[in-house]
Amino acid sequence: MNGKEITALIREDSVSGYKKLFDEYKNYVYAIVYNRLRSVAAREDIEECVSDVFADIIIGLENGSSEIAELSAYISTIAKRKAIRYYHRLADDKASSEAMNDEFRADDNVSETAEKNERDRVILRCIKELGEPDSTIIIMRYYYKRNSTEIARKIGSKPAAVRKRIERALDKLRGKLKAAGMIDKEEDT
Amino acid sequence: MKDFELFSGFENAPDDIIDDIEKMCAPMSECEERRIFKRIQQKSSSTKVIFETDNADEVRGVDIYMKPKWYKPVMAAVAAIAVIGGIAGSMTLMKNMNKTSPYSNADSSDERPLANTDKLNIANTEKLNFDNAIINIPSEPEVYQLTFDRIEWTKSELTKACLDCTNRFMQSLYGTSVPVTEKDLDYYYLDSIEGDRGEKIERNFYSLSLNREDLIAWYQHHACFYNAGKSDTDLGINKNISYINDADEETIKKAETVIEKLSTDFKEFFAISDYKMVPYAGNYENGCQYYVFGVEYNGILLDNNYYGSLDANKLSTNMAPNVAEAIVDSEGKIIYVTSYYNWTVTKDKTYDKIISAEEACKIVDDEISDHVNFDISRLDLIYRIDEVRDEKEKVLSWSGTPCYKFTVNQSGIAAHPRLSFFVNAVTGEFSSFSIVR
Repeated sequence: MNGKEITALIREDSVSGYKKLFDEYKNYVYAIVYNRLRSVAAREDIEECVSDVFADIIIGLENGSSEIAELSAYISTIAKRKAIRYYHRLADDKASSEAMNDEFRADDNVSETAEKNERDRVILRCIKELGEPDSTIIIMRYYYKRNSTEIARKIGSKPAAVRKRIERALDKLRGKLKAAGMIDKEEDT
Repeated sequence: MKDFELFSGFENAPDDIIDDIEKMCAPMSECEERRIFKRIQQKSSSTKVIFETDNADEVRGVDIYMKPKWYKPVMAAVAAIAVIGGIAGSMTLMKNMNKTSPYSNADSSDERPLANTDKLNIANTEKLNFDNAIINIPSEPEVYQLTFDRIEWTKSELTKACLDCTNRFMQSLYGTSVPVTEKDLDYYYLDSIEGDRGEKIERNFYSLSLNREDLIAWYQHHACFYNAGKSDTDLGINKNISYINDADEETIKKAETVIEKLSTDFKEFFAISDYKMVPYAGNYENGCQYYVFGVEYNGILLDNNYYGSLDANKLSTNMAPNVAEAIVDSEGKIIYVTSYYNWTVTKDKTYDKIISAEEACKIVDDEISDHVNFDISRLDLIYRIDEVRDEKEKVLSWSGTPCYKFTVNQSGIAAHPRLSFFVNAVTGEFSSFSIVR
């Protein structure tokens, strides 16, 4: 169901509409918020921020924003703004906090940023190449910092099995990153 | 690159990377999602509750879109429930405690059937969680359709009752005190009173209050309400009180002693022949024990909440509290009492059969929206009390209808933090209300 259909559903049946809105965008909002806050926030803070985002979205929709043409862009904007506000509140390091301006990204050091982004894309591509469930396991373990039990619950496995898979997946990933030039031989050892 | 450094550069990532991560992995557990649901619900002021029905045009109450199933009130910070208004008319908060509440009575020869929860099969559903619920359903109860009415006292009846009761109380409190006499009583009489909705209720109403500094005592005709207490009694004690359950044997034992004392020393207003007081809730604070007693008719509690409609267009539904209260000081003396259930009662009909608690659970489960999930604080078989009015909206009496009552003390819904779902134990009819107190 796309954004227009969801907003139409909200107008027709707010209960189903908001439920659908949450179901469709919960992971998207979580991903945005988590990405912004992962270095400074506890999980509770992240959950709080995600709930704030949805509350703002709902209030916005009920206050006449129901004709929003691009719902995902609207949600994304609210999520980023809210996450930045949380970041500023939570960040201990003022310098790093100040580095994030309200336009979400600093325009200076463009080349450095582009390089970093490219590096991130390669890492993601390598993880994707691991296939399921290894890619999910690696993302959950090292990006979302979930423990083996949580991962096991998510993928329907056992914690011990997850730990083994992580070891093997990391071995494979190192090989791929090395091949992609992301790890040199010294680091690998 | 160390494993834990894999994503060190991912912070503040551009949209396409975030999109990729989102597509690759949805990290939230069901539990986290529900937690977030609850928070959204609390934050969104426009959040409403909808009880969906099969008929799309028929909407009961107002909308809700979420309620976390995960949310289990922790014992230390649990459900707020309001039981009574009391003299201060204050909301009382209670902790939600576990399991069944088989209130045994001090009079063992007339012991009411206890809740036989072993025979019950109350299972959690996707929408209803009974893990922390008190289940209070008597086994094989005799169930009636009842009619209640307010007691009408003559002046001499009320005077005698009040003087006798209050003087025993004075004696108990102060020993050799100056007895209360008729001169200490202020009377007033009304041939009609204003009902909860401003309507005129025509009766002969006597009321009185005690005009003394050492004791407060009064009888209010409107609510069949007798109240007496030491002048300096701190009514602030009736906050943060907990349901009394069968696990708390010591509290039950103490409560039964108080019931016995109320039934003798305060018999005029507490030992009402048709009813039985049962331990219901309590709190210990500032050296005093505060008790709330439920009131049963033939083993079935009378409903003790005030309700508001979930539908803003409907009038609220008010009922008498049907409770008794007592405060006992550190020396074991009763220093404050309230009787709030002076109804006359008539049996209109005996029901041969009622639906089971399990069926009632299924009805509630079917009636409420798929989008909600509630932790049930109590499941009681009760007499629900409704006004009986004539065509001119004049209150004639009150009906007592056997119902299963599902109490939700923490709905997570800002507009309706406490809810009750009723299932008529005979017809299976469903209704829902916001608990006011």
